[in-house]
Parts: sequence; structure tokens; C-alpha cells
Amino acid sequence: MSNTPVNARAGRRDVLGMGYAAVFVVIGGLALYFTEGMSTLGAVFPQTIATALVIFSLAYIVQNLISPGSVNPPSGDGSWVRRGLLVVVMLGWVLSLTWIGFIAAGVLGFVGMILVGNYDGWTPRRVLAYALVSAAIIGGFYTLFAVVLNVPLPPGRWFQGM
Amino acid sequence: MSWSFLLAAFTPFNLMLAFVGVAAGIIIGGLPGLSATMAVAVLVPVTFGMEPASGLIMLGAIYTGAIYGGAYSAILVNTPGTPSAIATTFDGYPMAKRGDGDLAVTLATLSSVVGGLTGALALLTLAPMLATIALQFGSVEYFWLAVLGLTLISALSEGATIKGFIGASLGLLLSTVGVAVVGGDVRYTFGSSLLLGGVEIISALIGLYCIPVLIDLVATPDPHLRVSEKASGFRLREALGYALRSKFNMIRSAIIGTIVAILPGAGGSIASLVSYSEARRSSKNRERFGQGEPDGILATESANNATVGGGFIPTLVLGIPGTPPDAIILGALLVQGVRTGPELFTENADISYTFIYGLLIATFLLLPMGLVIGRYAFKSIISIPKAILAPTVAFMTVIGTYAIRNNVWDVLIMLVLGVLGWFLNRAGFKPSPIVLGLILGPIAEQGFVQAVLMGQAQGAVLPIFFRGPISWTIVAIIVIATLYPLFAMVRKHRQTAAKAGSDE
Repeated sequence: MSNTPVNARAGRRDVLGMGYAAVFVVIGGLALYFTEGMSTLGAVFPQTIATALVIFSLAYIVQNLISPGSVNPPSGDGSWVRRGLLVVVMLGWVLSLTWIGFIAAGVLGFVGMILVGNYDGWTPRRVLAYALVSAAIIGGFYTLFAVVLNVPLPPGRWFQGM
Repeated sequence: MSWSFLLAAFTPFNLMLAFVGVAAGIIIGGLPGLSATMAVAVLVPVTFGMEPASGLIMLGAIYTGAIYGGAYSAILVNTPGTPSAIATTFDGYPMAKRGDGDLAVTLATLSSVVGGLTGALALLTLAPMLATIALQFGSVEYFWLAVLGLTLISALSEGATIKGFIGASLGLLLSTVGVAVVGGDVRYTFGSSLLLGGVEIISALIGLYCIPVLIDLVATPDPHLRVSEKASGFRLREALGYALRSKFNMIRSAIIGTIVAILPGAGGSIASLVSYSEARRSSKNRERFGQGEPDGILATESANNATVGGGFIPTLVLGIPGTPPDAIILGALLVQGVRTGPELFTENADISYTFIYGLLIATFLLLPMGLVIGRYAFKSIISIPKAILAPTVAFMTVIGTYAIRNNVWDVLIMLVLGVLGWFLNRAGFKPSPIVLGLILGPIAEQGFVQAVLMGQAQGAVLPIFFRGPISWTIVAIIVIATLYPLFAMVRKHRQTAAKAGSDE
């Protein structure tokens, strides 16, 4: 659950929101442009929605320019490096699934996430405990999905020729 | 006939699923950040190999347990475990601070059971009636219903209505990616065969709800939950005394929760807030609300658990999710090849009624399990280190998303949407309107295009959209729902002005 900041500032323009709205105007415009290659039947709904997106986005920008409302500035608490690293680790995890397989990618991703999420000092006991818990979780889920539910988890292209 | 469904719900396997589902739901719901939506989203692939009725029972049990579990951390550490437990913090935490945390947890358990039973009974009795009415629905009516679902979620996001509409439009636009539902056009794939299947709904849900939580989870060293030393026993007799004295409050709140949940898009948080304000308005001890008034907990917990059964009414009868977890359950049903709609209660009555009885069983199980887990397991749940919690949740999102279509591409879409969702959330664009747009998009498009075709054939497109009393009724509700935030804003301004005048 995200914690909504309570320090709303009345009478302040939502510059961030307006920026996003401007991007949505462009996205809506592009979506309208790409409907040109569609049939009339297939284009009618995307055209309507893209127009609605442009209108609502413009309405938000105009509303903020004319009458600024109350704004909840986004919280900047916490480490941006760890946030970024989490996304990088997950991206690497997902992209490597096809190549090195589910188990290898899962282990690497899991270890990477532990390193990103850990704030405590590393002791031999902690390393052992985390290793055992990680093995149990990965093994447990792998057994559940691959063995019990028969989900064909990716074996990894690099290992298939070996 | 009905007894056979009851007996089917009572098989050892279904009982086990209800038991495991309630337990898993309570544990996940008790952890802040892991909402009922996330609990259902992450565990939904587990049900893919089951019979539809059994899968539904497990998902309903998870949902019930998670909504209830959200009360633990709301009461004991002033952090709502799920969004629907927000109002539970108002009086729950003050009770815990003064040493009545154990009593507050027991009150929450009792009222959750009452609310859950009310919602499930409404599902049992009202759903068939609604199913009959739903048979009168044509493409136009379904189009308006989809619009209603979108306007409600946007209109209820008071103070950010336009952002709600923008989010809904984005979701609708995302739903058009891939092969068109009518006509078969290939749209917005940019030549990639990977996008032909469109954006998978559950992947998008897991991404939009879970990834932003993960991103913020690792950002600070603060423990994800603190331990309260207040809890010391059940205090069941004392709680029963309170509950019996406030039975009218509990039942009224349960009815409010059920009705709010029937409206597509409105969730447990709205239901609990509405019931809390109604309980406060009608109480003789109005001034005690916010300072540890048991009636506050009884109202919010009764209402939010009533949304479980209530939300299933539009989900199963009309195919329109009443709450975000219902949206995931709807997706799971589609994956299993079960088509929601009136025929679910006629041709597939074995699935629907077995599930409803299973939901009732799960709600009854909430009482002993809630009390026991609340008493003994809470402290161990919150002691999971963040370094293990984050990769475990991430692992579940990856494997859960992959298992939907055995497709790595879906996992990548999940992650990308999740990161985008985090950025959008920071700018005040909440995920729920986007998700509703994504889900309701195909329904709205099918109804819209078919209505336009019918209108063209009759030589009048616009009149076809207002062709009967059902259309007019839904349009009227849409207008009311859209104008309500404006009305509330004007009323608030007037009250503020009147107060300022009286102060002078």
C-alpha cells in the first residue's frame, strides 16, 4: 500500500501531473494517427478513446492553469539507487529467463533482490539462513508450478544444446 | 438440487482449499503493501489446474482472508494492511494504544464474519434475480454498463476526477492493442507478433499493483511492520457483548458494503469509509469516534468484508468486476474458459452455487482462524526480514505472470507496466482506473461497435443507444455518479463558508 502524503498544498499547480497530461496528449494524437490504417469498424473505438484521452488530458492542463487545486507532492523518501537497482535486477531476471532458464534466472534474481533489499550486516549465520530460505522458496515454488501444476517453465536455450 | 451444491462445497478438498485460502489471505492481507488484490493476483495461477468451482472457492477464501487480515496491522500498528482497512485505523489504533488491541482484533473478527456472511447471502439470493434482469441486457446495455463501471471509479476518486478519467482512457486504449474483438483488425502491434495477443489482463494487474509496492519496499531500511506488545488474549465474551449491542450498526454497515460492492469499480475502502461515516453520524457517542470507539471498528470491518460477496454479484452475473480483486478472479475464470453472465447461474449452476456455499464456509472459517492467527501468528509474520520479503514477492510475480500463458513476454509487459504504474502513481494517476479500463475495454468496444452497426442498419445511430428503460436507467446512474463529486465539492465549499461565517 502506498502512503499518500498528507501535506497537500492548496493553490499550487500540479506541474508533474500536467507534464504527464502533455505526454498523454501526444500518445492520444499518435493513437489517432495510427488508426488511419485500420478498417472503419476496427478504428471507431480506438478513435473515440484516443480523442477522449486527448480531451481529458487537455482539460487537466487547462484546469491547472486556470484554477490550481491542491497538490500532493510525491514523497522522495528512501534510496533512489536501491529503487533503480531493483528494477535493473528484475529486468535482468526477466530477460534472462529464456536464455539461462527459470531456475538459474530465479536464483540470480533472488540473490540480487536480497542484496538490494538487505540493510543489515552480513554474518555467516545470516548468509546461511538466507541461502536456506531462498532455496526453500525457489524449490517450493518450482515444485508447485513445474511438478504439481505442470507449467512448462523455460529450461534455458543455453543449456538445451548441452 | 441446492443441497447437492452444498454437499459439493463440503468435499474434503474444497474444505482444505477454503482453509488454506483463508490462512494465506490473512497472512498476506496482514502485511502492509500486500493488498487483497495482490494476494489474489499472486496466488491465482495456483488455481489454474483445479476445477472452476474449487478454484473460485480458493480465490474467494483468499480474498475474504486478505480483507480481514488487513485489520491486524491497522489496529496494532496504525498501518492498514489493505486499503479497505484504512478506516479501521481511526479507532483500532487508539484502542490498541490504550491496551485494548486484543479486544479490537476480536471485534474486527466478529464484524468481518457478520459482514462476510451478509455479502455471501446477498450473492446467494440476489444474484439469480440479477441474472434474470441481466438477460434483458443487449449490446447497448452492456456498453453503458462498461461506461458506468468506468465513470464510477473515476467519479469516486474525489479531487482527482479528471486524472481518473485519463487513467480509464489509458486502460481502454491499452485494451485495444492486438486483434480487435469485432472485425479482427490488428491494432497498435507495430509489426510485432508478440503484441498480437494484446496486453494480458492479469499480467497488467500484477504489474500495476505489485511492482510499485516492491520498488518502495526496498527504498528504506524501516521494518515493514512494527510489533505491538498490547495483544494479550481473545476477550471474546467482551467483544460479543459489544457486537450484540451494536448489531444494528454491524448489519447496516454490511448492507452498505454489499451495495457499494455491487456498483462496479467501488471497492472495500469506499465501503468502509461510507459505513464509518454513517456509523458516526447515527451514533449517540459521536465524539468518541476517532478516539477508540468499538462501533467504528464494527462498522468498517463489517462493511469491507461484505464487499467480498457483494462484489461477486456484478462479477459473476454481468462479467463486470465489483472490486479490483474481482477483476483478477474474472480474469482467472476467463483463463479457465468459464464465461460469466446469466448462464453461469443456469447452465453452470454447479460452479456458481458450489462456489457461493464455499464462500459461506470460508467466512465461517474466518472466526476460529482469525482469532487463532491473530493471537499467535501475527508477531512471526511481521518478523520476515525485508531482504527476504522483497525477493519472495518478486519471485511470485514472475512465476505467477509466466504461468498465465507460459509466456516470458507477459512477464516483461508486467514489469514495464509496473514501473510505469509507479511513475504514474507518484503523479497521482492511480492504477485502478487504468485496470478497469483494460478490463472493461473489450466489453465496451463490443457493445459500442455492435450498437453502431445496428444503428447504421436502422438508419439512426444515436437513438439506438437510448432504446429502452434499462439504457435510460444506467445512463441516469452514470450522470449521477459523474456529477456527484461536483455536488460534494459545492457542499463542502458551502459548509466551509458557513463555518467561516459562524467563526467570525
